[in-house]
Amino acid sequence: MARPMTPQAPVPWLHTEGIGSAFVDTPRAALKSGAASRTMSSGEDQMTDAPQSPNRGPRREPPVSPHLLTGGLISPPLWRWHITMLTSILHRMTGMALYVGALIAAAWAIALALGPERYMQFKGLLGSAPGKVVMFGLTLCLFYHLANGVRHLVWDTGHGLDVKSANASSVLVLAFAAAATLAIWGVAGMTGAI
Amino acid sequence: MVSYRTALGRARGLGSAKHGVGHWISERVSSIALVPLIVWAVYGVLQLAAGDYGFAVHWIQNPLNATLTVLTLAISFWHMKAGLRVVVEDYIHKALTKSGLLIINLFVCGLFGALAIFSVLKVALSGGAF
Repeated sequence: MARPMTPQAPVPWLHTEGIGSAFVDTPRAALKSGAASRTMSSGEDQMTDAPQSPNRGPRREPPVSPHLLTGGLISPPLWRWHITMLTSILHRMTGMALYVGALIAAAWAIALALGPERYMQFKGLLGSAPGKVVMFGLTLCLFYHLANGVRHLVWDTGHGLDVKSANASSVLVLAFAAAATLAIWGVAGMTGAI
Repeated sequence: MVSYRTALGRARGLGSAKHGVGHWISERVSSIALVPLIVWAVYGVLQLAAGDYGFAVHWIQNPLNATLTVLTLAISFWHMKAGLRVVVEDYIHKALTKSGLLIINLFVCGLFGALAIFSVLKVALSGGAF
């Protein structure tokens, strides 16, 4: 960084000696209303002998948080994986998987309209081993997205947003998805659906 | 060169499109509707998976099953279109690529949603005769 650093105002979250040796939690101080940038600019004003005009010199880039994947491949990642990060990204990924699921549902309706041969062909495809693997995965995605969607709706009412509740609901949602999927496939096995 | 445009004139059109609230509400309303519909649909799929073509035709001829299937398909495809739109808008920043993907998303959801609903109605109303 070309920006002059002052000893009184180090970047509060980037302790370089910490990278690779320990995880860094969410830099709260930095994320809250740009507290870090305020600390730095006030420090510079005091420590440099530049004239007091705030508009002098090249335009400075605003401070940014390190990328999610900082560290990562060669050293341990900078950010510690939180279960809330996992549940957040899983909601998107399962949503995109369910896009495929909805197209399969549409194919079911179209096959039904095309007559008995096409319909049994379609059922044979879904009932094959790869078909069952896909359907099992989609069941998991469906129940996850359903439960996490309800969690989002609860959040929209302003409840359950604190860290402790959000962590607990993450575990609950993951457990529900696994349990509901196993239960439905258990029922399917008993009723001759698979 | 001096610009004679007023500050307000420059700012106009650069802000929000004023459609954000509508999108936000439609995402939530479709989610709420899908909670019971998906639970019902899972129950329906369990029955259909155990049955043959004749059973499926009989099942879809039931007015409640036909109506709920159409609603599940319509709201699912609507919800999907909105969901993937947000994903594209979040990650794709090149104007042409973004517009292209948004149009493909809209057309895929529109086409397959319409095909699926028409197919359900055809079988429900004709009893599978064709």
